[in-house]
Amino acid sequence: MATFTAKISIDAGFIKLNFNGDRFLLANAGQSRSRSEQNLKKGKHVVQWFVEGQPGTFYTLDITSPTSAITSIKKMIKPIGKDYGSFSFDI
Amino acid sequence: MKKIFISILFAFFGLSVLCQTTSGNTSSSNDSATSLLSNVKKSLSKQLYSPVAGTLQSNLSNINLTSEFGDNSATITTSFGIGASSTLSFYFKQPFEEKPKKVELFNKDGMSSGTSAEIAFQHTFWKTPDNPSFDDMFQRLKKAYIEKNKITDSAEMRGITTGDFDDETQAKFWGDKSSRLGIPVLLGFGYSVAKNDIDFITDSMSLAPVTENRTNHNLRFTIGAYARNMSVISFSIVKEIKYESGDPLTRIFSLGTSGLTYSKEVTVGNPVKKNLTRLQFDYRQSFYKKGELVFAVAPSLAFRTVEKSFVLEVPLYFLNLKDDEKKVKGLQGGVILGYTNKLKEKTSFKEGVAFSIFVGAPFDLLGFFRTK
Repeated sequence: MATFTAKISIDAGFIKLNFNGDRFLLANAGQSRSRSEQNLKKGKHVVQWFVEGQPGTFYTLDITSPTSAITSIKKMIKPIGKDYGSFSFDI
Repeated sequence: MKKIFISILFAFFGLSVLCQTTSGNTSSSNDSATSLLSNVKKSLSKQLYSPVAGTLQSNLSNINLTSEFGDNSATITTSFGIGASSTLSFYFKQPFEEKPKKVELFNKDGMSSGTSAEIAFQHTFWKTPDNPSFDDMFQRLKKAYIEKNKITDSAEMRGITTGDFDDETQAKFWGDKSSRLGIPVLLGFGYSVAKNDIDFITDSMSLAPVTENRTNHNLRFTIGAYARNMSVISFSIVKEIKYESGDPLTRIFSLGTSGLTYSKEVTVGNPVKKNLTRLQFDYRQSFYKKGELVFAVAPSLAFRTVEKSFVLEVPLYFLNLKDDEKKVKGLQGGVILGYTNKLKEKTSFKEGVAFSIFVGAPFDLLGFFRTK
């Protein structure tokens, strides 16, 4: 069975990762947090992340499993101070 | 739970092995308002000490040696994420003098004198849009962005966010009512215990000092909110059970009947147990320039209900510390303005006011939710 593994961090502000609509991880300024969920059911899964923070600073998101969801981003927060992303993947 | 248990065991036995360097980073200097002000006053008469050496790191969250205002201490901090948005932290601190070979947090009698330990729990609430129209709107914009930029790599597609869109599109997206993000609210609980040896003389005729061990307890509840633009406001209730003694004085004692003497810093009278309650308001605001923290202010107002006294502190952070590679490690110092007085029996302004420079105390926007 597949495992979903994610890690988030943010320099200044808050970042929240939802998995299939549920809160999965939340980190605030200076924190780095990771978590895994095992035994994913077959089918479609949805990843969403919300960011609110200081423009010009960075946040990171790393999803290391399953293969179909592998993502690694380091983004600078834009002047609006917010960011959002989402995607779905299949098992 | 197993991981937590193992790390607590590490904490019990771990700190004895570090301590072969001089001081390193510091932990937050924001202790209780009153004691901080007392530290501020103390620092006026002490030589300012700036941390210079590196920090010892371990597989635990953080182990370091600290120096603030010339007071050295070894600290060990370890934190664990619990669920999606909670954190449990353990913190141990042991002061030492000069360069220690060994720092003992615990001995066969339990906690060593001077050791303080804290357990702290923090939970963050943050409501974010969960209506399907919010993500639908994003997916439409994302699709247009992919087509416009001819992106074909699936990993790159997954990483697209609103920050990749042009300013106008971002403003439109976030200006929509359905896109409103809630205000992050933080709750924190902490319990700390500190063991201290108190040297005192029972009266002015005492021939020898008495040393007794006392344990202070501190229970804290904090609620706060991130008020946008990198500012945080919070309210704390702190219950303290502590032993207080008078001002220290240096006294000379005879060493048995040998005719030799020694001097020791003692207080007069038995330490008095006090049950104290403190209500504290904190506000922290940080200012950035080109993504770099350049200035911060962290005013706090504490009111002690039993003594009916208050302490106002306004730390201004503007000194950056750079590491060996000249990389800025964030704000680490500045000046503190402080004022304390009683609501009744007021003393003069001159007696209550304090001003000091501080270094080696990193600014932490959410510091009062974390271990201290």
